[in-house]
Amino acid sequence: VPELEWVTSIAAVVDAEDIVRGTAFFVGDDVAMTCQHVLAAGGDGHMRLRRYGSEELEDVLASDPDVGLDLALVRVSPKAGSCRLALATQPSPVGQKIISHGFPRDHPIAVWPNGIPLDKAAITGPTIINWRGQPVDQLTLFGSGFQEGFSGAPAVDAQTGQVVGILTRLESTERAYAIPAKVARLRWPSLPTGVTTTGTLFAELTKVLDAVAPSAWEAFDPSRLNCVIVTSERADTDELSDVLAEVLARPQAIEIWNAFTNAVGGRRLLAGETRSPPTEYTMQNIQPASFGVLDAFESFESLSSAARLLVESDLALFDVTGFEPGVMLLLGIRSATRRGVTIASHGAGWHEGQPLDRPFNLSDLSLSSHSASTEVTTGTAPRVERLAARIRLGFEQYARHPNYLDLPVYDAIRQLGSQEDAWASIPLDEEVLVLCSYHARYFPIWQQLRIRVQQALAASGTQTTVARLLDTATPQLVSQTLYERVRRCAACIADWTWGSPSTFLELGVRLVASPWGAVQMVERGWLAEPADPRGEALPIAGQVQRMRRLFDPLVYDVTPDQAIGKRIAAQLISIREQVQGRTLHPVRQAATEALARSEERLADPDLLLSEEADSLNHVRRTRTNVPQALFYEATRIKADEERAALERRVAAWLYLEHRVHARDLPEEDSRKALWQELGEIVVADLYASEVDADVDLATEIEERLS
Amino acid sequence: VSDQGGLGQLERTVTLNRNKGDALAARGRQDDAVDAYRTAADRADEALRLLGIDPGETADPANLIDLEHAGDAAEWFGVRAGLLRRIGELGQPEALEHALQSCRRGAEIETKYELSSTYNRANAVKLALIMGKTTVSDERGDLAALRDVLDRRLASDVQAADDAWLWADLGDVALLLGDERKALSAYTTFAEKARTKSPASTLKVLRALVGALKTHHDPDASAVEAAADRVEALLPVR
Repeated sequence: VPELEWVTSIAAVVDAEDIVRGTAFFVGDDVAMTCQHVLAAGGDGHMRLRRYGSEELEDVLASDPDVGLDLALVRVSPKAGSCRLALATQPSPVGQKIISHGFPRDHPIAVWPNGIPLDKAAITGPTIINWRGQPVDQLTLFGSGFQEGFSGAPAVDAQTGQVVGILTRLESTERAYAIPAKVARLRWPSLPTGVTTTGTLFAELTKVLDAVAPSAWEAFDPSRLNCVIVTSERADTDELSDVLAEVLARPQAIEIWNAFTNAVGGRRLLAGETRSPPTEYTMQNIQPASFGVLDAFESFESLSSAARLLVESDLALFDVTGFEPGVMLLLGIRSATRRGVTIASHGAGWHEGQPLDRPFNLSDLSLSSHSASTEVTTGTAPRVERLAARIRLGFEQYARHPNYLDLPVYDAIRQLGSQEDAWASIPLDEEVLVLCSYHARYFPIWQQLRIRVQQALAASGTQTTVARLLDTATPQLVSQTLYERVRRCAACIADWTWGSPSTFLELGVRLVASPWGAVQMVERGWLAEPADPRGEALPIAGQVQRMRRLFDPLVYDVTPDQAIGKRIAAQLISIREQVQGRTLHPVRQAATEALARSEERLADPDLLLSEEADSLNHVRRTRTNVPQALFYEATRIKADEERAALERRVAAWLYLEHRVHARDLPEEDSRKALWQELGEIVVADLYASEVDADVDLATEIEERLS
Repeated sequence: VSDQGGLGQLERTVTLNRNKGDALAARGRQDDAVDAYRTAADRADEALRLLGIDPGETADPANLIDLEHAGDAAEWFGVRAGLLRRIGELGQPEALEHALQSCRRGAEIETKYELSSTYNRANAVKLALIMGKTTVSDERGDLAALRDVLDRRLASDVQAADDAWLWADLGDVALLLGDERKALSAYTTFAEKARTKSPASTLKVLRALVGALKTHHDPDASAVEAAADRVEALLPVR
């Protein structure tokens, strides 16, 4: 490549004190790429670019940095027709000669105004970095003359003239690292490729496409019913949205509203507010949002917005028709993050009560149907009635049961036991968890995958077990074991092949529940033409394409070979080496931020204990005297529950008395009312004891109450 | 009438003072016990007034009560009767008259509104026997009618069948009718379903009843006592 054809796109990055901090290269008329750390080195001062062959210092007018990648785009005043570089779409082979040009420290700009070329370099192979919770390849370069000041310079394929990477870090004068062009394009998908040389602008490159945002609420509103609908790729109409709209427009919607206000009213949020929705129902009390699965996977920003809505919504409706991968992944996010009411609805002619093949981990899900009835009916359509009833019942049960669930996962990934090691990460050298299809057609793939990954890890010095859930010898229920491992295993592989809905649900859980992310993979043929294991084509090409662009799964042919095994192993090892929390997956990041805003505070001990006491021996049993213990025929069991209930109430009262000082609270404070009520119940029960000390305690508490 | 919060508060106060009275009476502090029962009885009167019923009136209040609150009214009359009975047992026999009156008013409401509860009806019979106003033989017709009501209710209404007090009533009624086998079965079910402390208080009333029958030379006293002994001995404790 003739040097002058590309080197004029190079520029020095100069800080406010005229010190050269690194190198940049133009990728458009007003936009250049450099390293984030180069920009940061200038502190708060104003940065400028000085192009190759020019003495002019051009002010950096804006920047779009990515700390995780250590890359940044900077904007200067546009210069039409100026030279710019294009990024490669294919990786260069190992050994390929690389050329570059930069502004090293030991070549002062006063003497070397156009910098110097890199002595020589070649690609020696890929290594792994983690970006946004995903392992991505990084290039290693070997040569001579790597020096500080080359940061941000392009690694140009000497044969094609295209940028294959951006120099970010040097290990020695002989070895340096570069972020691959592919990764930069994941971050800024509109970066120029090929041979075109004009037109690209900073604004176009940095434009964030959030396809979910237009239909999303701006912020979670604790005084309203936040309701989201997720539609499927095959849904060619807004059928589910229409059914919901009809539900909410009927006079009976007041029943849903009452159930909702009863369920959430008075609940305190981590953000400090107490939820108090208005008692009167109007349509304005509903805060709706709706997005399609294709929108959700349009970009990381879209996915983040989708995750935020799923976390924040009090009511989420999913069109699970066909159990599409993207919808299942989103359902996994919801199920791991929110206990609120979720309704999974199936259309396409299926009606409740009819047989339906379901994913095994949703086998106990109560599926709704939004298929139009074929029967001629007068009045409200049955699907509207049924959905309305489901929503109302959902909120009623949510109010009644502290551990209400309509999806699996939520408790299974949280309640791991009280032992110190119960929630500890399971390291790579103990287990690699594989999420995949269990269909017979996948079995040969699984066999190869296990062997290849195990061998590759062993070759890297890591002896471990590569296991699917069913390969684990445990008597524990699959559902309980699965989600615990999804959370705890540091190493996880998810294979999309054959589009198992369960696998995608688990992947959604994994992305949000684990900071370690997952190594994703897929078979090339399936990726090109997604089908179910029976060979029937699945109408999910749009979402699979988008998910591929976002998640960049490793692609293999037919069955995993040695090379794919090595790449998986390299990614797993790099995940182990990542500093936890540094580059969270955007799904986890968005969910975490949303939870901080909308999550309810854990109950105080007084409420927790009194609720638990009521669930053991309700205070009304003094009057109603109906059996509450499951095995009430055994007096010992019943007596133990009554005793446990009394002790919990005593503990709750003592907490209110000595910790909250509820006696001194104003009359309108609900904690004072609880203190009084609990006190009276406890005193009554203690007086019923035959033990003198109990009666003495009753007297003491009674005196405090009076 | 709509003040359910007020009724709940009164119910807690009544329970507290009733249990307190029981605890004090068991420790020989009879005057203090009576004070506690009186406090509880006053609260029961308050509850009835909240329901729009004057507890001091002797007229049939059933016509004044709407169906929605009939259950509450009957229960509060029963609660009041239980408290007055306790006071009566602590040396103030005039309270027993008030207790019986309260039970009968509660029983009227139970019958008029066909309530599932039979507490007042059963207790009206037991109190009249305790007070020597009637004999077991006199009450046989009412007891048989009550047994039939209970049999039907417990066989057809699963929620009623969950109510331990109904089984206690059936046990009492069967025992007084001389159906020892049925009484044992009913008491056993009662003991299984009730709070663990309930059988003791029910058996205490039964003992008081047996004692009163003997005092009043009721011709069935011996038979009832023998049956009560056998039933009590056979009551299973798991």
